[in-house]
Amino acid sequence: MNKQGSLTVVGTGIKIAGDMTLNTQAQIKQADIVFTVVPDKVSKQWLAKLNPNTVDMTEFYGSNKSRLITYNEMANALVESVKQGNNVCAAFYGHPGVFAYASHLAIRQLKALGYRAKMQPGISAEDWLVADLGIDPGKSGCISIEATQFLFYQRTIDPYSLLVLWQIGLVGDHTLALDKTDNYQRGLKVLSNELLKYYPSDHQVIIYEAATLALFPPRIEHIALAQLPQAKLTAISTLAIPPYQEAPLDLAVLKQLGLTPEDIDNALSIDK
Amino acid sequence: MTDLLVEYVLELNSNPEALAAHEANPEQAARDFGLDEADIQLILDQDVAEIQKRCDSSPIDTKGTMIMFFKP
Repeated sequence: MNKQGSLTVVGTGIKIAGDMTLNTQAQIKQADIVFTVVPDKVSKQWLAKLNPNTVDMTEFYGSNKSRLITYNEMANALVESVKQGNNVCAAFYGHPGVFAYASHLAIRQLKALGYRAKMQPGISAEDWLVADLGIDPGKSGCISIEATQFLFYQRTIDPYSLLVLWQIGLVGDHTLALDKTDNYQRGLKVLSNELLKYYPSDHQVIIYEAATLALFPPRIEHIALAQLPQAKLTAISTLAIPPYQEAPLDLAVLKQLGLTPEDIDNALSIDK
Repeated sequence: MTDLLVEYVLELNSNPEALAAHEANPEQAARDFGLDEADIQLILDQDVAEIQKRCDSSPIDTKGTMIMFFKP
């Protein structure tokens, strides 16, 4: 039997107010208390309108303090409030399960303790990237990796698919404690060199930043890969690398299936 | 205290009709919403830095973002 108290984690999306689902708004309104991790005053003001009993968890952030400590403190705050019998809503910007260590941790801990805990999806930066860039990740496939992880670990990429590298404004930082994105140049140079193993230097890449305010457009900056080390980046910069070329057909597999390249071309042609 | 400029930003984010009116005639839309002359000028000037400051939204400040790298 579930204990009294529950946690529902929701996402506020990227464009505050406009990106929130009806379900998310209802969860926020109906909660006993709402814990928030949102990046600006606009978002905080909107959430406080929906439910005045909000707690701003960005107060856990501290200068030169590892985010790992901060995120554990956030999870603890959520768990303790549920243990007090509250029906808690935790509202994270974007999708609450993407780059959101604290939300997953709190849900795992509460479930292990016998409490009800669940997550509702939200609109993420990746969703806006697909819409703003007009790139269908289903067309060529998509590899989506946090930029520093891509550098620190031995990862392979597929130049036939779309590559999305997140948090390039923090690339190469291992401290998880930066206050500002002003120390990425060395990491960006190393990242560029790694990418040049897969792509030609004139391959066009895109620096993308989703718009949080409808007043201003998203940042969509096309540059040659060779220019990447000189790019000016922020905490919300993402690098999107379109496929270098179309993947060649695997003739051996087609033969096993009794197919020819013409069969594939005909199936994908609208001139029938 | 509520900041009317922030309220206007919220309105544009959540109301497609308001956004369309703003895109057609930003000065009139902002005036109709009740913004004062100084805030209308910020919008007409497309003063991104100042409006972001009013919204407490700094793209280089990591306080607003959930930075993390994971072990794969």
